[in-house]
Amino acid sequence: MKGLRERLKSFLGLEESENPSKFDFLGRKKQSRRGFLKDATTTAGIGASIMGVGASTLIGEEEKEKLSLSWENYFKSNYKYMSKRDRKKAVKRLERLAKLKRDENVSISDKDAIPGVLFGYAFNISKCEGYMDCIKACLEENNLDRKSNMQYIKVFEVENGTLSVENGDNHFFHETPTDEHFYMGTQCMHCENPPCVPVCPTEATWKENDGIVVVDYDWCIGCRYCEAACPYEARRFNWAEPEVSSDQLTTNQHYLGNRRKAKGVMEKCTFCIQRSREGENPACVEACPTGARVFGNLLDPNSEIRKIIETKKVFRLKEELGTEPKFWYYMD
Amino acid sequence: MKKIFPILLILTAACHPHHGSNSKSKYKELTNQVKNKVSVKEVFNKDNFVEWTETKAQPFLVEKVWNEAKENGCKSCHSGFALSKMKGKKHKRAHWNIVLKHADSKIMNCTTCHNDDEVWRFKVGKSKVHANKSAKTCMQCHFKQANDWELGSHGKRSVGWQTERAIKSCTSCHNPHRPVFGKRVPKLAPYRPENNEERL
Repeated sequence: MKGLRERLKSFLGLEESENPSKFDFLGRKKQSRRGFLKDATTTAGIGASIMGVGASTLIGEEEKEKLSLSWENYFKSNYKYMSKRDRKKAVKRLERLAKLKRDENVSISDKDAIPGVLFGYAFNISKCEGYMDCIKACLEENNLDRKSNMQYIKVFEVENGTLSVENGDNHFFHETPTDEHFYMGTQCMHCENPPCVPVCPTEATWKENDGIVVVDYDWCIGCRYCEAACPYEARRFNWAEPEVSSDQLTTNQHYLGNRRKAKGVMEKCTFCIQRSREGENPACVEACPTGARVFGNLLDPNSEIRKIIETKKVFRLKEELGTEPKFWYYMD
Repeated sequence: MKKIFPILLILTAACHPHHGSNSKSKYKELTNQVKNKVSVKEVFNKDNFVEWTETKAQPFLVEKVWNEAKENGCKSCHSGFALSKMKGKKHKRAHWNIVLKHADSKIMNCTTCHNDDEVWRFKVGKSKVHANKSAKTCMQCHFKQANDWELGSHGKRSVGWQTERAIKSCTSCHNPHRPVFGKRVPKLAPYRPENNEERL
């Protein structure tokens, strides 16, 4: 009796084996739904696109390559679940596509989090003078839309004596610093318990091992749930195709960082993942002329950020929400 | 063998500077960098920094602000007579661009910080200090800022977060003759997503 049940299980493919076979119980090669769709449509898709472009004999090799690469790019998986090999492939494809489409020589990184690193940020509210050098550097580094002048960072002008962003003004444009005011910058706080992550219906946003909350721009469907969930208003939405001219493009990119984004996609501060994972400081930290911004590894007891948390009076925004932001404000 | 030996000795001595322990340690440093995956683009060069060991905190590196060309520039005029004698109308045309707005003019003058005979050296009490360590001059009054600077809550890193602590000196950011950052117009207009025409 027992033997029959086991045989039946193995016949139906229900058996849990240590080495799952690559073939199903009928002996056919196993294939995911996505993979099947991709294979079935690749040839048809290229054919159709070629027809759209013109006579198939007139199409150049480059055009063909572009079409097939775009097609493969369309069927890639979520970056979070990609194998290392697939990530390398996806990156190569995007680099080649940038060359073919716009003649841009970009280098896209897929570097993983460095082990033993948890990024943290500190902001000195008594040093910031509201010059907005950080915002300009961020815009240039992260290839943000020049048309709508998109900005990840907001700098609030807050009256002395109060300590709330609600009363602050982030639309000022006059000579700074003004009397009786102090300046307070906000951006993505990279929460340890990010409320924007669980609301995403497609798992297009998640927290990396080094604490950076990232978005897979090709997996985002633009529902903007995350924008609504974020208590710090840190996420930005591309209402139109972002405009960045080729000569202003930062070519040193990361898959989860500053590469070109499409219309209808969320984006956000990534602590300049393409810089910070290479050992550099984010663009805002490097650009700040007053040294109000400090970046470092929270797990290193000798880092500046740890010293600030230990020796200074620090606070975080909306601490009562339990989001555990890794962004501290301090004062002299 | 006896004849060859001294020749060998000379040869090894001649080769030493090229294949000595110095280049070996440099090679080790480079390989260690690769192993630790430190890839700060601006290669971290310790020659551009001075070590700061006179601190209660962990020793760190401070960016050099001085070079020989600057020193020669000073020497070309200032050798031979004291700075305190330069006051008055006769010499007023020198350094016309320097406006001293540092504390009260009754308290501060050139010789508060600059040395009287060697102007490129700075005063710490009654002793002189090299320009690369001029932070010590500042620290005499700004002890609170100095404390924060040593710990890391005042000042700025010169290179990325991953290397050992290498920070900017006081005068890398502050103009010593006019240390307060002035007023200026922000670099960018504020973000207004409603400006975007295609917004639904």
